[in-house]
Amino acid sequence: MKKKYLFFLLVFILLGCNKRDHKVSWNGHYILPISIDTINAAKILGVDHLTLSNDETHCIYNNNFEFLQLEQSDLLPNLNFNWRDTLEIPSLIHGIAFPPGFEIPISYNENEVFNLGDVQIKEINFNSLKLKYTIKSNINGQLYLILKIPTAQDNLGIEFTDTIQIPSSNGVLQTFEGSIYLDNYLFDLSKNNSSFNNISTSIRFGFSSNNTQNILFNNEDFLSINLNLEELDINSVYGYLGNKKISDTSEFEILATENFSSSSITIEDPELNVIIENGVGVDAQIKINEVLFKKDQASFSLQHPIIGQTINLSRAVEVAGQYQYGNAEINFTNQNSNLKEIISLFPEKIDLKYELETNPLGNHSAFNDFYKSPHSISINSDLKIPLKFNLNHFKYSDTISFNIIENIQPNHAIIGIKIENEFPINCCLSVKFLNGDSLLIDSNCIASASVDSSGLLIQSNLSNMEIHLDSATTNYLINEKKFIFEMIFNSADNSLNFPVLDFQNLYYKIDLELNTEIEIN
Amino acid sequence: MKKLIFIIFSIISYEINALSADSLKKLVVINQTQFSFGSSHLNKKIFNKLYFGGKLNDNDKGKINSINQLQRSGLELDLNVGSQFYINEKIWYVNFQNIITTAGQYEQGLFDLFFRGNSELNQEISLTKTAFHLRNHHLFHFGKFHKFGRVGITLGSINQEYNIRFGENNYVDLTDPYQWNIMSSPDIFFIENTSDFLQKNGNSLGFDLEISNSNYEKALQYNLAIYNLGAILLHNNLKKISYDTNFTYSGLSLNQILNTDSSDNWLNDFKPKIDSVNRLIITPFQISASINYQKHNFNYYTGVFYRYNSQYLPKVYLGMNYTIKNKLILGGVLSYGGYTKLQIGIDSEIQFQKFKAKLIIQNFTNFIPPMNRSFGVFLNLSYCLI
Repeated sequence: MKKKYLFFLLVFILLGCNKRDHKVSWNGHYILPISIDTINAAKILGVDHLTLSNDETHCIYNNNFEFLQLEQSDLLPNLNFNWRDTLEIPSLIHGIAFPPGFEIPISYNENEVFNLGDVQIKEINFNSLKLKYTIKSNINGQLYLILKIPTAQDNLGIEFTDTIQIPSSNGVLQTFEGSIYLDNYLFDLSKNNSSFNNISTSIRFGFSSNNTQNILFNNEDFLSINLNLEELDINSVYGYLGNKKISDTSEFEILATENFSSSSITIEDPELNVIIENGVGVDAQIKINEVLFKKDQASFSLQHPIIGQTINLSRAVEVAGQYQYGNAEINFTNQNSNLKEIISLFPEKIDLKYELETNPLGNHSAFNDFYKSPHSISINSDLKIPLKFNLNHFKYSDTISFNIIENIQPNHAIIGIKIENEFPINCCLSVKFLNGDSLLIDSNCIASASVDSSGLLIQSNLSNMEIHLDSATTNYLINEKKFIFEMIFNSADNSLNFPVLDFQNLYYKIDLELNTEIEIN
Repeated sequence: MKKLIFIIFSIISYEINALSADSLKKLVVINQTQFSFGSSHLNKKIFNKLYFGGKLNDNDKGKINSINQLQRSGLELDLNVGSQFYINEKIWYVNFQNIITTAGQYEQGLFDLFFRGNSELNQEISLTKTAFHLRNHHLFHFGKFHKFGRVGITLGSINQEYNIRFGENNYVDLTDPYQWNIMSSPDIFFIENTSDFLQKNGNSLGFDLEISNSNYEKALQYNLAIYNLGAILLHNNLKKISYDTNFTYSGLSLNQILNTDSSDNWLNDFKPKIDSVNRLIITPFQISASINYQKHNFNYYTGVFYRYNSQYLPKVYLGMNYTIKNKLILGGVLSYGGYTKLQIGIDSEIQFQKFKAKLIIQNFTNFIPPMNRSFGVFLNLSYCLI
């Protein structure tokens, strides 16, 4: 009986091993948000906000950009303050036993003149710097070394003095390194107005009181020190800052146009101001060789009488604590240049080719040049485009991405678009896949809003649009997870430039209605 | 599913027959198995299809109810093997119990959102009362019978314990097809089973207390019982998912995630993290009360049963049976609660010498397709070995 029982049990277990041979699935009708966005002129132009014109009738696209800001390293040469003193031990003290704590009564004084090209510095003021020392010694006994830089003073007028402890070398030449950090030190490099680029040092040495026995010198003993000024954070420099010539091209992106294009566009007068500022106490000359606007692969040269001409820049001055820059300004307008034609093409980038020369007349100021951080020489630009347009087939496109769970078998779908137009321009929509295939939208255009003569909104226009997708198209859309949403704007009246105002928007909402089968494992 | 139940019963029954009684003077071996699954709104077929696979049709998804109607669905499998025995004229008992339950309590709208879609949702779905659990506990009961009933202790090994409970004012609002609003701050924690037979990630300690008048001569009998009332200590590899978020979803490009430190890493909040702090929770204790009234060969009974923290609606029942020749009992029982609503069951018992079998089909109407929202069976086998 038991065997039969077990047999039937086994049969039932085998029959009962009814593994899940197909997935669990069901049909559902889901609506998913895809995107909500607001389009306005600022968004189309890729800026955070627009400024209002003085008469408040339209907005202005205002882009300030900096072509050039010379760094400290551009204006000053590489200040390599590195020098070495060998402390020669007089032979007459050879063989004398010096007790611990005894200081040799000899001062080793040095004047080091540094080669800085044509730059002749009288005075240099550091916010901070590092004095790095490297000492070589083979002396058998601990030493101390008193380092003085008489021409370096802190902000209390106290000259630099420091004591460096040197461990015993036990007769073998050894190297000892260390650093001293200095803040707010003024270095007088003029040697009492008799020289330039000059640093004086005075060094004495003695025997550390830590020694337990007397120390004897012999003719093999050697002691030298190498000093180097590093990590120079310069506050100011006085003297002659030399003649420097800089030639360069600066490029700047002025409009983010990757999302829009237009067959033709009419705009009102734009302006481009180039402001050159000299914050350094040197005379300078600048020459703008070319201003080039770029769009895609094409370039358009800005025509203006100043192009290729030398502009003299007066030096910065400091009078009674007031710091005054030497300025020059070039104004490009529709009257003196071809700026309007170029801006109508919505260029993406601007290139500025320039030459800059400091002290073109040499040491004209008799060593009265100065550099004060953070003042520098800069070229800034200010582009203003009044937003009064007439558009023809102005196309703004955006790629819309979305996420949908996997393992679905959609039967069909509807892309729903709810749109509200506050612009005084007509707008037509187009939805495309990334491969360029367009989706059919019934009644894809929405008329312009009603506005008064000042462009103020009277009544916006609302529209609901639907795109019906079959199973295959829905599958493609879900696999791609992206589509391109295009808005094509056309002015309602070709003869008038409509003013763009800050509060004109086009709102859209997109959802995806899916009738689908969902599968789970 | 029926095959599975049969197999489970067969294995357990065979194990009972194989038990040995050693030197005890009196020994009763008891096997008690209860299996049920049910739902307050779902058709039985959905459970079959979710387990064995298949396509859920509209009938499987149940009727379309009000979005805010609270629904329950659950499954329980309660396997018991134990014995009662005499030592020094005192009756003791031991019982090994493996209880596996999984259930959920949710608003109809949440079910519809997943299985029907959100196109017809016209109001927000509250998550405040939404909770789910899955557990697999091994429990060892032992204790002693007294005149008033019995008292014992329950030691437990927590094989699995998953708990999800949403917070106050949590909701999902998908009524605007262009913009969803979700507020969610659930308490989600779980421990998983270990490969070690003895060392588990959680243990429990509880007590059993049963008060009854066990004098079968009386016409009116009562029974009050509480089983496994105590605490569970989840002490190893406790994982929790913790987030408190209120956000608007209007498409991938415009997520507005609030109440999170950084939108870059907000998804990390949804990943389980090991919680180094132990967690003490109340055991899913069971409480029951019943009254029997016997007159001639008729027995009338009623009672209530509840299991804590299991999304369980207290179940009330009312039954009657008739004894035929002291060997066969047949009757019917009406019940309401648990994971389903009204059930009409069949109550039967048969006795042969030392062997007694009690079988309750908890939802007889299960066999009528439009009414088969649940299925349940209770089987009690006892055999007096000595």
